[in-house]
Amino acid sequence: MTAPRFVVVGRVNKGKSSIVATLAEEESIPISDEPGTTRETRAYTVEAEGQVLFTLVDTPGFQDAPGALEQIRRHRRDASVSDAAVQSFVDTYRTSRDFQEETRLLAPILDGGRILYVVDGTVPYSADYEAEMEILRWTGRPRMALVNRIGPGDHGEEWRKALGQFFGIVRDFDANKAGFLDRLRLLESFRELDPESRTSLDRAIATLAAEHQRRRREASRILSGLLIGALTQRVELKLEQHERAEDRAEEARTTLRGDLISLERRAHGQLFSLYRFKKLQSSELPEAGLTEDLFAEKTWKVLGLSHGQLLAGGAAVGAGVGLAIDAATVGHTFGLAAAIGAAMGFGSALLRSGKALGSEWKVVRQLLGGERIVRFGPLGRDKLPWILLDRALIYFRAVSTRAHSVQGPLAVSEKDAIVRDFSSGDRAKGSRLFSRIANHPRDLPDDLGSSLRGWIEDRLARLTD
Amino acid sequence: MIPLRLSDLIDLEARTLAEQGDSEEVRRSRYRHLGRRLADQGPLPEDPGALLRALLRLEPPPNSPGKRFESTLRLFQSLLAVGGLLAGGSLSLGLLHGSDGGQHPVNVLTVLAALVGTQLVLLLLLIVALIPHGDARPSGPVQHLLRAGFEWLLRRAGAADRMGAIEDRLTAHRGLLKWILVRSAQIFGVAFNLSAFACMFFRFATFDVSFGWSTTLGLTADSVHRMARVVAAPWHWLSPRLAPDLQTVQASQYSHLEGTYVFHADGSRSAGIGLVGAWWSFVLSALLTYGLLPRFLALMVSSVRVRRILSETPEHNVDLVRLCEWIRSPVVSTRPEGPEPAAHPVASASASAEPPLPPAGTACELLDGAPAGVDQVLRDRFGWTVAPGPDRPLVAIVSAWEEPTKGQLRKFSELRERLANRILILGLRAAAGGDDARREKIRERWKRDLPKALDGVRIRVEAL
Repeated sequence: MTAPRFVVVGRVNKGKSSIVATLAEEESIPISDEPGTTRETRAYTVEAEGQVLFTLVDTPGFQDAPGALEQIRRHRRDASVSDAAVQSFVDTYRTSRDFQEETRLLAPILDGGRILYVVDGTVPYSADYEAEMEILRWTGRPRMALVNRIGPGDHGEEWRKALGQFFGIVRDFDANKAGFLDRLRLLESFRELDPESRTSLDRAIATLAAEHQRRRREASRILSGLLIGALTQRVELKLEQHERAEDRAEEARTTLRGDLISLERRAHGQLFSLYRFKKLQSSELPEAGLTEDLFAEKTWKVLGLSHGQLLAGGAAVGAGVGLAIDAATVGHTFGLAAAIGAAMGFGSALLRSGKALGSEWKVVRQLLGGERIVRFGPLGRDKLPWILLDRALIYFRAVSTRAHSVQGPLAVSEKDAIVRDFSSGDRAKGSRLFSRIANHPRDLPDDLGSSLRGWIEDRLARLTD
Repeated sequence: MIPLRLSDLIDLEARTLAEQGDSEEVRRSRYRHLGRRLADQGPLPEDPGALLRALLRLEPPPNSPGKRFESTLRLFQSLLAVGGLLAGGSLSLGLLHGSDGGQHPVNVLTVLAALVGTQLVLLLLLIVALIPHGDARPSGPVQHLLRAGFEWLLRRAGAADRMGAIEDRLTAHRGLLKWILVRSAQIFGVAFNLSAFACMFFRFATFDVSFGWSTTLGLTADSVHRMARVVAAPWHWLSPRLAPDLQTVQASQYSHLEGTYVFHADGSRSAGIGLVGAWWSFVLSALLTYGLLPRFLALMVSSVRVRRILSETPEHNVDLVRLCEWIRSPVVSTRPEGPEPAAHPVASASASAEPPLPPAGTACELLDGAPAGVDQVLRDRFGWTVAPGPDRPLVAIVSAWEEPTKGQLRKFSELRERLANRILILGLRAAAGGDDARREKIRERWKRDLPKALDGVRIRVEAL
């Protein structure tokens, strides 16, 4: 079972390298709008532990297809040996300065490669493309045409019509916007076209689908780790006999904020790494990401749940506790406990919303001599986790849908807020989980962490599927 | 769900702790490697518990801390069981023998207070300790005592290295350590009650134990009878003989001052064995109901709980879930083949100065292959007319969207002779609107590359 090699060909500057980068998830492939950036063929093998799933070959673009076609015609003895004519052309010009690009791009095709022919569907079709399509047809290899989108125009229809005469399958594929499912669909299309590589492609598709799921689970682990870290975050300070906890609150807040910012940065870095964006992770793109700081006023205004949603969440948490009591009494309390719980939860959320961020503290140890150990934290148990979640989800959506051909900074902004659009049921469940986690500053039970991960994974699935 | 054994869980935790310094990537490939080795032996188990156990079988930890922990725990629980048997037996025999060496009947209130009352208090403390709250660590004096004892034993067994950290991890598994200690305490409790029950029964069967009750609180026989009925409520329905009737209670009131049963204070023989001895079934039932049964239930609950935690941990614990994930999921990566090609410097975009455009009214020659309607465009845009002629400016039309290629440049270079001293005007035709910036870039590239193919020729590149 030999893994298929896809040779990505097309005219210069039509996005071949972008397509290779996107399909191989390889951001190191040089991509530029300067024509002729790729002058040599280079293969990128997508593998699972040494087992090759498929290979993508990036090639230089056609530079003189009409001239090459003319030469190939001269090598052709009869219609049945077109591929031999192409082979003869490649052999003849392999070491020549003429037709360098054509021989380089045709050689891997003649070595058994499958053709992915790339055109730009945003510019008009012209008949002078027919020479390169004809050459590719003469190779006799399985081939698919991809209509890429480089600019704003749309000439896809005329391209599809023309390409349909030369290629078994024509697909739209925007290299800079293609998500995971687009990539899978492409492999599935090729599977239909090329029965020889069907088994290999089935394995590749199954492996990539599993990898997609794994990443989502891993992302939910990263996000839940961030939220658990924030909700169980505490700092202990020793207070002298006559010192008031309020006097040290600012110091505690500063420490908590610093720790939280580091925690968040690490989580975002892990997300970038998970989706194989090393440049983002290593801050090679300093402008990447949300412009506002985690504790900036705008962040707290725009992200997370609104004031009303938070109060409703508080009521839901209280009602949940009350319902448990009602259930324990087998309904003998007639839902009164739930009603009281909801009112208390609402009131408690209302009370906390008026307090300064990080004003929660309690004496954990009274020392001889009147000194006390006071524990501060967490920072804003109601709103903060939603803001952290919102920011993390914004990053998740951006990296999980970002194609590896995209070179610029991560295009995200506070306007992309997500959590406010959650259903009331989702918000209530989230609030309940956050509240329960905040009550376990040490030794969070496994099942609670597991519930949070499951809840986040569902949210991630909805964002990406 | 296949449960982990406690030793398995501890071995996995010890493994995780030992790997803390390794990068995630290293750990992932290590576990995937193990996963492949496992897969070589047969299909990987679907159940995470079974998978983790298979992992430990494949690569057993040297000097397994889990096995050391488990054997120490077994020893600890055995010691508790033996302690319980000895304590229960000696306490019950001591109580039935009478505090005064058997000179007076056994005070049934003392027996109930020692064997039932104390245990009910301890049971209450246990329930309070198990009420869910934020901290899943062992709490309460009994659990602290047990934990200290167990840790002492671990140290004596030489199994204490890393155990502190591992015990913390066990707590994170839904209070596993707490439940282990609860179970240990119940083993003591069950042994204690079994022994007390057995010894009491033996004593009742082989000795005519006479019971009495005496108190300085001024309780009447009626009150004591009512209390006895309340205590006997759970089993009284089985048989009326299992609870003392009023006559028995009255007959067994004892005066230590007088050294006789109050009912027979006239000095006649003490109450008949049928009356004062009738307490034995009540005492045994009370011990069974309030001592042995709750302890046995607590032992069952804690055992089930421990087993359940061990079953569910592989599915719920984030670290173990990741281990399973790593074992199962292949590492997907992209690898470039061969060495990185040498970088080719791309020519800078600077273009040479262009000659001025021919004035309006100029007649131009149009190169073959131009699309229809171009002459109209030239007329509208520049005021030129189209007519063939050897000395006239030559106008060539190409797509404004296509980069200059070697093929096109080659074609232009073939025009050199035809051009001679003429100006070549390259029109970049865009039939439809679109990205102006992109077209401008392409125009710049034509301005840069075309003079290289037609060195010395005057060239003007215009967007049409």
